[in-house]
Formats: sequence, structure tokens, C-alpha cells
Amino acid sequence: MYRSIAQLDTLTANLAQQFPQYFTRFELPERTRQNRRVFALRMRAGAGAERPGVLLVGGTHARELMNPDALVELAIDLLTSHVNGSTITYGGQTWPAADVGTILDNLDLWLVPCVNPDGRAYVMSVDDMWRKNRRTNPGTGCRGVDLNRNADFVWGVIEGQTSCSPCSDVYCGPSAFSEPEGRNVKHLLDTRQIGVFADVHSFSELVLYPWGHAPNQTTDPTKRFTGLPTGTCLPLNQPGYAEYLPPDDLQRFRAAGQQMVNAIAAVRGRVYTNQPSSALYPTTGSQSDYAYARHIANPALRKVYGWTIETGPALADPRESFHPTDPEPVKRDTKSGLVALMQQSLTLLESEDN
Amino acid sequence: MTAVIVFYDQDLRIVAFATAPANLDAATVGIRAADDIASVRVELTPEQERLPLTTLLTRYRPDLQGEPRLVPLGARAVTGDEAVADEEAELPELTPTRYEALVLTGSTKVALSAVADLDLDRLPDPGGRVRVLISADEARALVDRGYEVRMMNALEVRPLDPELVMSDAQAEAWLVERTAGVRHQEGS
Repeated sequence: MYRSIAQLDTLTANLAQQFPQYFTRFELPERTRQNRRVFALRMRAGAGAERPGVLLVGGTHARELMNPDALVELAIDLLTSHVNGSTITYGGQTWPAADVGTILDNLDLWLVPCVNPDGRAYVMSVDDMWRKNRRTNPGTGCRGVDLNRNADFVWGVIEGQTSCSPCSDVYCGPSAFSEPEGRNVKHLLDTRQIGVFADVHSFSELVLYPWGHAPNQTTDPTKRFTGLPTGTCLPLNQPGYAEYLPPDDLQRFRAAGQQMVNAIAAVRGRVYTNQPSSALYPTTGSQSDYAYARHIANPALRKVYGWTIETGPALADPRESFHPTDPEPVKRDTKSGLVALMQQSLTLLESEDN
Repeated sequence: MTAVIVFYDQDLRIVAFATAPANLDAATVGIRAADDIASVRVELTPEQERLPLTTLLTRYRPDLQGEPRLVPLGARAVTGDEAVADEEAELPELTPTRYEALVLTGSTKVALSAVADLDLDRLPDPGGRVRVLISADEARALVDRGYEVRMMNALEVRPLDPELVMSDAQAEAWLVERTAGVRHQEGS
């Protein structure tokens, strides 16, 4: 079953109130298009200065209902393990309390369970296949912006599944970060020491790393997105273009992604595919590409390793793919993969600090 | 009048049409159509504007048949200038039936890569095929472009099954149960 927005908000409030040693809830600076408040939950064990952070977000696309629930449930799994010294068990995958302790003692976990609460509310009340936020697009009868096309990364280039049409389900919006929901995610990247980011979506059983707009290459560093036009509402129109990804980073993305794949497979045998985002279909303006691209566009910014995770298999009925009648098996897969990501983050962020 | 919106059923019989200002397309005309009715915008040249609508449709869209009836615009009839100037203008939202479909290269061998240009809601497909969620209008547009469209599922617009939404009591009970063994630290 799925939690409503109000229930998600109540749960995060309860966690912060009942377990203040572990949880702090922050209201993000911008209300949604329909004036809803959006909350982030920070989780850590122990006091002290801000630590390197892992930011996990869910619910960017409204109809992908499992992931907001999975994120809050993951937080509770980590809590009970740490407090009780117990093992987390997801099917065939176990996470000893010591592993959980290492994660919570050394990282700040930032969760935004639902980036797009307006969309989730709309799915639950009107249209269970809605994807976008609920922006009014003046002069049209079409609402919404695709929040995973609205980030400031090669924004407005209609490469692959990105559109400049307000009526499209992949509408990139009138400008980069035009939407308050996306700006809330950016706010956390701007103001917290986030070093790892994962945007949790459904479906396809994929662990996706950069880049989304073009194939990767590791040999020509002159091929950078910073030289690409943006906001053109045209395709890239550069046949054969491949985006540079430093080989060390590619190796880290692959290695950490493979650990996530392994942790998911151990639960009940589902084999996710670890691949660049563009291999699914090209996109621009995605949150995870934006997160990773920031330090390239502005070397003063901290590097953020960014992933998109597509949870759950493709099923005959799209409804069952996006919000299955029984989401529990997929949520266990997801949580296992995310714990693996947290564990990998310890190494990723340590290497960056050094 | 510079365009007309034509509504037709699954047998391509015209059921109604409405006039539309230049800046509004089929998706923004304030007329709600039944789930099994699609629409197409027919742009008119100055010469075509002089023709009776029935003659016009018979001559220029022979694929559409029947005796159409004229219906007024359901929402405000605004001019192009008014629609642009009014930033808060909000037309009634249209929520058409969606169809899950596979898009294939048709007899004209149009490249599948061009589907990306059509701004469609594409679903991941395990076999790498082009699988989309589209309206009847979009299906027709694909066919007009030379693709083969195989409709797989009709997905009527409806809210999430209420049975899949937790009640407040269930949500609270879940949290109580999951944290039963954890000491609360209120006020710590």
C-alpha cells in the first residue's frame, strides 16, 4: 500500500519528534506549485559538525509511487538496526548492525521522500498515470513540467525524450529550474555537503550513471557539455557527439553501481543493469546529471556522484509497473541497493576528501 | 476563423467540430470529448475559410466521414492577443484516455529515431522497442507520419485504486509496530 502525502509528512514529523538523536526534519525553502510544503529528513548517529552527505530523493515523477515509501521505510530500518544492534535483512541480503553503524556514524543521510507532492496527490485523487508536477502552463489546457527534464543541465535541448511542448509528458519547462520542486533539490546541493546523490524512479530495474544526453567517452576532455548550446528547443544536432567522463569517475560509477546491483540481486534474484543513462534513451535536464555536472560547470563546487535508479520490472500492465498492487518485493530490492550505495559512499567521499 | 477542430470516433466518423482561434490547438479547446473520441486540428487557408465547413471537411479530409454538427467553444472564445496577454489564463484541463502502444517502422520505413521528435511519453521496454503512452490524437499523428502503431492497452484516466492507499490508522499502526522495539527519545 502507499502513503498519502499527509501520511508521509506525518511520518517524518514523528521520526524527528520521537528520535531527535537520529532525525532532524527541515522544511525546504519553496512550496510547491499548489502551495504544499516539502520536507527533507536528515539522519545520522551522533552529534558534531556536518558530515559528507548522501542525498536520496523519491517521487520526482508522480506515478512512481513506491519510492517515497521505500525511502521512509529505509530510514526506519536503519534506525531500528542501529538502536537495537540488529541485522537488517532484505530477503537474501543482510546488513549487519556494524555496517549500519559505520554508515550512520560517518555520513549525513538526507532524504527527500517526495519531491513532487502535488503530483502524488493528483495520482491518488484523479489520474494514477500522471507524471509531471502541477504547474499551470498559461494559454494551454496542459498542466505540468517534467521535473526530471527541468534541471540546469543541457536544459532545453530536445535530445531524445525531452520536449519544449507544455502538453508533453516530458516537458522541460519554460526555463531551467523554473519549478520550485526542483529548486528544493538544488537548495540541498547548494547548502549541504552532499557528495552522493540518487534520484529513485520506477521502472526498468536499472542503475543509471552519467551521462544522459549523449554517450560517454573517456579520451577527449574537450567534449564538454559546457560548450553545448542550451534552451534551443532543438536536438543536439552534433552527430557522433560523446560527452567526456573522466576515466577514474567512470570506474567509480561502474564499481559502485555494480555493488548496488549485487545487493539488489541478493535479495531475491532480480538483476538490475548498471549502465549510462543515455543507453535507456537520451534525456536532458535530469537531476542526477545536474548533480554530477555542477563541479564541472563550476569547479568551486563539490563533486557529487549522481545516479538515477529505476526500481521494479516492466510488467504487462503499466500501472503494475509504476505502482504495483504489492510493492513490498520491489521496495526491499530498492532499500538493499540504497544501503549498498551508502556503503559505497564511504569510499567515494573519502577519496574525494583526499 | 483560421482553423477548425474536428472530433471523430474510432470509425473516423465525424461527430462534431468547433472553430478555433489560431493560437489554440486541439488540446486547449475547452471542449471535453468522450474517451473514445479523438480530435484533429485542421488549419484553413483564406480560400478554405470561404467554403462551407461540410464541403471543406469532405474535400480536404476525405478520411473523415459523416455529417458533422457544429458545437461552440466550451470555454472562453479568446483571440490570440488575449490569450497571450493574460498570463493567468487557464483553460479547462483535458485528460484524454491514454493508450499503451508499440511504435514500429511502417511501410514507409520512417526511422524510429524520429519518434523522439514527437514529444511522447515513452515507457521503458525490456526489448528496447519504442513503447509509448499516447492519446488517440498522437496515435493518429504517428500513423500519418508513416509509423505502424500497435495499441496494446487502453488506460482510462482514473485515480489510484483507493484500496492501495493506506488509511491514516494503518499508517500510524505501521509506524508503531515498526518502532515498537526502539526506545523513544523525546526530549533528549
